[in-house]
This record gives sequence, C-alpha cells and structure tokens, in this order.
Amino acid sequence: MLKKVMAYTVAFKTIMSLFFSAGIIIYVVFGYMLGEREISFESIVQIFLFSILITALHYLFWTEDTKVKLASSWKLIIQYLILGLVLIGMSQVFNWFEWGSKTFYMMLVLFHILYLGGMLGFTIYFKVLGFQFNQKMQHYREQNQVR
Amino acid sequence: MKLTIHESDDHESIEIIVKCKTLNDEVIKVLTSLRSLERKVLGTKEGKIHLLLPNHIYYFESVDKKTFAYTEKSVYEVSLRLYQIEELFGDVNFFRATKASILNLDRLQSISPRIGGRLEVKMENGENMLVSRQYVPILKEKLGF
Repeated sequence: MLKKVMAYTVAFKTIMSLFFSAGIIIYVVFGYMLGEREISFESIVQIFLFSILITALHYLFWTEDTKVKLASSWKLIIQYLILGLVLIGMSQVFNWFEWGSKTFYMMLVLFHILYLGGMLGFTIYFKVLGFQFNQKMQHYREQNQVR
Repeated sequence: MKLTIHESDDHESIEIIVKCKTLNDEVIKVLTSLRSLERKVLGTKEGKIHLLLPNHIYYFESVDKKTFAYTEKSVYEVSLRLYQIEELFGDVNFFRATKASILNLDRLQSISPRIGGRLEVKMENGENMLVSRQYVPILKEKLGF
C-alpha cells in the first residue's frame, strides 16, 4: 500500500513539475514580450498552485484508471471551462489585470491560442504515432507471411 | 493420476489415451497441458470441449479468476491462466495488453494512441481493446520500434 502511495506521489510530482516548468516558460516568454523583466515570488506560488490544479485535472480525466467515462472531446470541453473559470478567478483574486481591460482580452486570446495549440499539437502527434504503429504492424504481418 | 507408458516398435507415433470416470476439471487440465505442447488450446463451451488454434483466437481475457478465449464469433473458457498463456504464446503473436487480457497481434486491425500513453486497438471482429501504458513497450518491441 505504502509502495503504491509512494509511486503515485512520485508520478504526480513528476507531471506537476512538467506543468510548473511549462507555466514558468510561458510566463517568461510572454511576460518578456509584454515588457516584464522579473518574476515575483507570489507569481511563482500562483503558477505552482495552478500546476497542482492542472495535474489534478490530468489525473481526473486522462489517466488509465480514471472514473470519468466521457468522450475525449467532452473531457477537453469540460477541462477548457474549468481552466478558463479558474484562470479568470485567479486573475481577479490576485489582481493580474482588470476585467475588460486590454490586457484581459490579450490574455483571453493567449489562453485560447495555447489551449487550441496544445490540442492541435497532441492531435498531430497522435496521428503521426498512430500512422507509425500501423505501418510497423503492416510490416510485421508481411514478415510473418514470408515466414 | 496413474501414468502408464507402453514402449513398442509397433507404435509409429505417440498416442495418448486418457482413461477417466468423468471429464472433470483435472482431466481438462491434463489435456490442456498436452495440447499446449502442440501450441493448441482447449476451450470449453456449453459443456463441450473444443480444440482452438492460436491463430483463430482474437484475445484471451480473465474475468472473475476465469480465463476466456475469444474467437471471431464464440467465447470459450480455458483452464490456462494468463501468465501460462503468456509463457506459451508470448514468443509468437500474442502479447499482454492489460493485467486481464492478452491480444493476438495477427488479429489487430488498427492501433490508435490515446492520451496517457495508452493504445486503443481495433480487432478484426470490430471490438475495441486497450493496451495499458505499462504493456506498450512489449508491443513496441514485438513490432520492432
């Protein structure tokens, strides 16, 4: 039992670290483009908390033993709504920007670009990987027939 | 169980005759062991015993500690455990897909990757099965990735 908990914790921390790194990179790249030259301790903590949320959503929707039995498209839509609402909530609680300001709309566009871009990236990756698998399977069968 | 061996020049090939009171589980296990030497599987369906060729089996699945072999249209109960099937047929076209299933690679129609490192495979009979993340490397190795 303890071994299972430890393995689960390590896996969770690994995925969360990936999301945290991605969050920091996104902040640095887009912050730099918007004129930011430093990152505050509060921002790091906020990105850290947000990473925990994304990891939790990942476990809720996308792991093998998920209890949420929905089509992938529905999961993506629900995840999109949760992330959007949490980000809007955090932006207001932590005073990232004012509701309806120019920065708000820029961030809204950025969120959609990143989310759709991520989805498109995954779609292309899975298509290519699936193509490779099926090609290898075909090759395997041809070799088997020769034998 | 009594084992008698008759050695004679008259016998051209090996013949095994099983004498028993009833065809119970123990006898089926003995028959299964013998057939497994020929890489064939014995399956029971509606009280009748059938000899199954590996190539006709789409997949094996373990449900409630019982193992079943699925062919194109029928399901047979087999007395072998999944690990025994893996040992017998793992070096040919069969591979472990999940903790409870072993699939025949020759009966896969297509493979689609899924989020989380899993694979969804479509069998030739139209059924969709999953390959767990932990068993994907085995399939990859078989396919020569």
